[in-house]
Formats: sequence, C-alpha cells, structure tokens
Amino acid sequence: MNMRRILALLLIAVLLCGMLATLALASGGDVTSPESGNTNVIQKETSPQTGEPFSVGLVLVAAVFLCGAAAVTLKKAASC
Amino acid sequence: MKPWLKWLLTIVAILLILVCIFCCIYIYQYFRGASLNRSFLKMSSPEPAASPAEPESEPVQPEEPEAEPEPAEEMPAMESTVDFAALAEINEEIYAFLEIPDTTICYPVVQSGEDNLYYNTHAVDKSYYTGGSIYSQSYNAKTFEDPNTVLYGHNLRSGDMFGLLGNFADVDFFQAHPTIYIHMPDQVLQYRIFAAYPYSNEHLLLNHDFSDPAEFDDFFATIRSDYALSGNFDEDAFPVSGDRVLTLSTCYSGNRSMRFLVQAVLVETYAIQTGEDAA
Repeated sequence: MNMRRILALLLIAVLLCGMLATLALASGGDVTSPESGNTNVIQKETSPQTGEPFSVGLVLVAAVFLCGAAAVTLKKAASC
Repeated sequence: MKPWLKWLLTIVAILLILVCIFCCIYIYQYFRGASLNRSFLKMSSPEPAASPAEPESEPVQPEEPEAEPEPAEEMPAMESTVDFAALAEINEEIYAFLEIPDTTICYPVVQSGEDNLYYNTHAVDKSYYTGGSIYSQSYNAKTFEDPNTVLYGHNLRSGDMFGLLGNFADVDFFQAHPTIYIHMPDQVLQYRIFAAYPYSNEHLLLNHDFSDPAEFDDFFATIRSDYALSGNFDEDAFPVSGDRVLTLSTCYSGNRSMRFLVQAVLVETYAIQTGEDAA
C-alpha cells in the first residue's frame, strides 16, 4: 500500500513539474517574438514526403505482440 | 474479482485486437503492393543497352518511312518490351515506363488528373499502398518536353520504388549506372545521369522557373558549386538551358526535410522498333 502511495505522489509531482514548466513559458507575456509583426514571411512550397512511415518488420512484431497481449487479456477477463 | 475489472479487461482486449487487425491490413497492403511492383520487372528490356549503346555506328531505321511521321525517320530505333496496352488495362493514367538498366528500378509512371498526391499513397492499380507509385505532378506535361520533369517515388527500406536511389551517393554505383530510359508508347527517351545529391525539401517546380534560361543555368551552376562535396557529378554531362532534364526525387533517409535527387539530361530519342520493322 505504501508503495502505491509513493508511486501516486511521484506521479503527481511529475505532473506538477510539467505544469510549472508550461506555466512558466505561458506567462512570459513580456517577451516578444523577434518575428512579431513581420508579415513578409516567405514559406517555400515543399516537395511530397516520400519516406516510409513504418517499417513493415516493426509492424509485424507489433502485430504478434498485440495478438499475444489480447489473448492474455481475454484469458484474464474470462477468469474474473 | 470485481465485475468492472472484467469489463475493463474486455475493452482493452478488443482495442488490442482492433490495432492488431490494423497492423495486419498494413502488412497485407504492403506485400500486395510489393508483389505488384515486382511484376513490372518482367517488362524491362532484357538488353536495354543493346540497341541504343552505339546509335551512331549502326542505327536501326524503320523500313517503312512513309508510314511514320517525318521526325521518326531521323530517329534511331530501339525495341521496347513495355506493353502499354497491358499497362492501360491496369490503369489508364500510366503514361510512361521508367527503367534504370541493371537495377530493379523498372516501374510505370503515372500522373493523377485530380490529386497531385494521390499516387503518393496508391499503387498503379489505384489500390491503397503506402509505398505509392512513381509519379509526376500536373506541373509537368506527360510528354517529358518540360525543361525539368520531376518524378517522385518512396524511399522504401526494401529497396523497392526509389529505395535504391540512395545508392547513387556511392561513386562506383554512380559511374556504373549512367543511363535512364523512359519508355513511352511511341518513343524511348535516353537520359544520361549527371548528378546525384541530397537537396532541401523545396518543391523544385514551384520554386524555380526552369523555362527561364537564366534561372535554369543559374540553378545548375549553383548545384555544381554548392553540392560538389555532398554529391556525385558527371561534369561533362551538366545541362545548359534548352536541355531537357529528368529529376528523380525521393526522401533522404532519416531526414524529413531533405530529399535525394538523381538528375539526368536527355541525350537521345529513339523511335519504337516493332517486330515488323526488325523483320
């Protein structure tokens, strides 16, 4: 039980730290972007993305892993 | 155990099964597309360099000049094993066939009339395929008469599509594969590769006006000077304004903001030699 409490507290601490960092960045209202007011922004057209989104080998491994995990979860659910 | 836990585990299992099904569909479309691509290897010329290697020494002329239009009389001829009738049955948007001799780069070239990115995620038979097709965009004519025609293809880890283009970064490979053929229903275009280099992801045709001779020359002069260290160049073959360039573009492995380009210049146009011509 103690272990669970410690873990919960740690999780809350991590979340708070994350929020603090976000707040610190968000509250910096005095800092203006060097590009503020610059309307002369040239955005170049880019050519199509022709990379490979996923490696088929990784997807195959993921499929096997997911299949196993689903079987275990279903077995666990059936035994409840 | 609590009943809500049973429901939770069941829902998790269903989600896992759904993701697993998605993975299976991905794997299926991948291998289906790869299988389709391999079928085009048979269409490549068995000896593509046999006829055109020495066109000046012994060009094979069509025997019936009156049946051919005027320009065909002056053209050397070569046989093409690409069956455009069969390709048209697969997809009417196939308009050319790309071949780099002694490599597995032998694919139909398509251009969608509606969506410029359609063939980025579809095979030539229009089925969904993450490996896409070799395609051009509507900024280019289908006649390869533009100053710079750009063909796109995926850089697949399997080496399919333009997965082998990265090999042109190797100087030995670059020197051993100097030629690209574009087969068309009425002619074959022979290109000589003059550059292979990593380039930014800027869209070449939307950011450069290659029809302007000054910009054309300026672009290739810049490439020559700025990319000398990172690319392989054939200095003798660099184009000048008025030449017709073919650019093969694919992603640069591991860097989404870079592309790897292989560029070639048109050196010869061949009329198609039919079986009757040869006889």
